[in-house]
Amino acid sequence: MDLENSIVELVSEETDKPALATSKFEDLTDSLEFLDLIEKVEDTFSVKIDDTEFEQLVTVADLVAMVKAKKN
Amino acid sequence: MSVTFQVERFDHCIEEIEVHFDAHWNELARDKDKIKPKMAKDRYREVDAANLLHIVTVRESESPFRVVGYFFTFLLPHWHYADAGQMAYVDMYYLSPEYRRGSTGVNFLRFVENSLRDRGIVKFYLSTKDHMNHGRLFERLGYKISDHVYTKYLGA
Repeated sequence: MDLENSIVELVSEETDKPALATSKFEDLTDSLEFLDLIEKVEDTFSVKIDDTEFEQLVTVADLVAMVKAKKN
Repeated sequence: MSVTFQVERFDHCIEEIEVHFDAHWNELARDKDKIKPKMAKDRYREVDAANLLHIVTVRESESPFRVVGYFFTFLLPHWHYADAGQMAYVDMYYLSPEYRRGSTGVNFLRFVENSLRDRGIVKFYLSTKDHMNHGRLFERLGYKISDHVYTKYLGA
């Protein structure tokens, strides 16, 4: 499974909602669930996402792009 | 709907903030049957005029730019550390439930912190209600737990 599908699947599992790359986090999580999700992504993909970067994360696609950039 | 964060003066925003007080009090206050809310506006005006009050508002990013959240802190030197510089003490904060989504809470607190830093504040004393705990959010942003606050009603 490629990185995008893995992240979309993880987001769906963690939020118990069917997520797409275009899904907005504000439609998927409250503030604390968002933190849980970011921490799960950090653990799963061995990346560190700084809180100063949270503003860039509007959609799941933004998260995919950020994780990809950090993995490269 | 997206939001913006900004620093505002007391008289510029208090009327819009007040509309949330009932919801704020109902959600967070203890001893509701004994202590009723009434804001001491003149006292707030005094500390604001003395530049000892710091207010950050959260507004909808589209007209009419309604206030949907606020964060009040008092700015004071610490009496035990008189030479350490100005410190900030949380007074109250609130975000309408429908805006507690995604990264808004984190971005709100980060804005408050940065705006305090811009005013030269050296330390921020921030607390959270035990029955509605935001400690995880604070810890994610680098805050360390330092006190537990206990309250007891002593009135008749």
